[in-house]
Amino acid sequence: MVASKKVAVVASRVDKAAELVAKAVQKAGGQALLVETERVPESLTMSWRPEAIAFDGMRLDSLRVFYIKAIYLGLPIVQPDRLNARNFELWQDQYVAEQQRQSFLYSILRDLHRQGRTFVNPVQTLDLHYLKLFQLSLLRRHGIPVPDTLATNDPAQVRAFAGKHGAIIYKPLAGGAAVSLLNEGDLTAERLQLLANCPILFQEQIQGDEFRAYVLNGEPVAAFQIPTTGVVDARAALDQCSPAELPAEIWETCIRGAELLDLVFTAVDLRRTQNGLYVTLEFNPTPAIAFFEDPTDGVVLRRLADFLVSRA
Amino acid sequence: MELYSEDLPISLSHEPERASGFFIPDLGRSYLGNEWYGSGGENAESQPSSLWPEAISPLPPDAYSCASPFLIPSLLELKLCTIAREAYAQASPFPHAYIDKPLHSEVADSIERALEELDMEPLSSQGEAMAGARGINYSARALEGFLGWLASDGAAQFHFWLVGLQYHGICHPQILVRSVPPGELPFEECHGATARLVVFYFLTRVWHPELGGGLYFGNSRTCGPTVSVHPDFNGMFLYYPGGVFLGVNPFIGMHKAERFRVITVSYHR
Repeated sequence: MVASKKVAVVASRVDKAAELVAKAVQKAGGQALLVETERVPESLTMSWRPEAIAFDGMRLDSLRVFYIKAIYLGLPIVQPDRLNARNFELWQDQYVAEQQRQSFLYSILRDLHRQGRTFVNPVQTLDLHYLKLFQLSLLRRHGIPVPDTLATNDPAQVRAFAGKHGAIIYKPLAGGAAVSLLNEGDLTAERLQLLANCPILFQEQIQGDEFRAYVLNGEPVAAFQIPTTGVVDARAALDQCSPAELPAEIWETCIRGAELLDLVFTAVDLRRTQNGLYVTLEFNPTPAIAFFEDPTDGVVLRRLADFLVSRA
Repeated sequence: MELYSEDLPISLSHEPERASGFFIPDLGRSYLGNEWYGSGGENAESQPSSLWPEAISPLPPDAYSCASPFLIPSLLELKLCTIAREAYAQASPFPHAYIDKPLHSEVADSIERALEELDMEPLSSQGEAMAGARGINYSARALEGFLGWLASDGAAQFHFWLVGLQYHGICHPQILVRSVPPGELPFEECHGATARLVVFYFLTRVWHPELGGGLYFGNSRTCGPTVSVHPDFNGMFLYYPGGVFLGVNPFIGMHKAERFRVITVSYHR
């Protein structure tokens, strides 16, 4: 007996056009599975693990084909502080005007990049700020060590993940808040029910000092070390950072990751475990420079400027 | 995931109620910054989060002191402002809000008496009396004071603040005072594409909504009223006219009132 071929139809159940496609799929001998992303996170559970993506109790990653009819996504995300700059009274009008403005700019910048101009970085890589899971998955698949990660709105998954790891941190999926350490109080039903309002990213805590490695145009530039004693989020200890050396194989990893992510210039955040293993936390598409060295004449700044001028 | 089938229920079962909020308690404030949540500080948590992205900050002190002789204190505070903004923002098919008893009761009574005594000069067959923005020599002091405030920059600031609109100080208020005896025909008015905000202060003592008395908003592209309001004495109604795009025109069923009195302020670009 041959198992029926499954096709994910990403749409609302009341979408008539999607229904026609679903019926046609069934007529063609397949099974149409409804993936109603609009019901996430409030009424359907969804969990991301590096090796398995669960959607409403089924493995989304087991499906081989997805037909997208309606999905409400938008990147880059409209920044609310830009709305007031638009000359409209109602925020609804400001929002639409800002979207149109972004379409205008984004199209032009992407087109210029496709025409061969050098961009540091290509404008589409700015999406990486918001697509942490995508980045983690890509790095992991290419053998770059990343922390064990769970992103979910499902309390049961969080409890299981907490049982697996000694210490867990959590942070927003798309940035916007400091990293926090998960404690017993966070595992109560009262707290975990809030995940159904907004999913969160959980990670095993990598104990050890943090490093930031700058890569430019496929070459190492400089590295800095940030002690993490007494802090969960290394950004709280930036005032204690100092220049550092990294092993050659770690630089190779950083350069490989930058290429994977189409980043010409990036700062890679890494943690070094007590066993000397370097674990990658994140590649930053618009890295800050001034916090780590002389803000007017540091080596990263000078190398970046030289590169920009060389391509002008 | 569900298999598509003919039997797939169209409506979903009611979702269980759960507490609102983020798992990361300060995520919204952290992401957007305090300015999007009002002034921050001790009262920050009590300020609305659902009004994104209109930040609520207190009414400027000058505007507050000018309005306080006429308006009830709670109307000048953030709590009632929050309710008004939510109502205004969520109203359909155009932004509007109704507020009951905005004026101090003695002020409303005084203005009503002044309107009774006022010898209204009809400017049209519909019995309108037009009051300019400034310099009207009314004998009734209460009415004069109120109209003086309505014509002021502080009143404009207050009205815009109340519904969460930005006030750039470039509005030109037009004030219309009406005191019309029963039996007149209902009338329509169009505030046009330049109007940014229109405010009605109702001082009509008795309406007969069962007979059609009240304030109605018709849309030129649809049949019949789209919004009906039956204001009580001392009621305030604010709306965004939307100009020609929304095609929203108010008309007032004043013939069903015992005596129709209303003061209208429209702010134009």
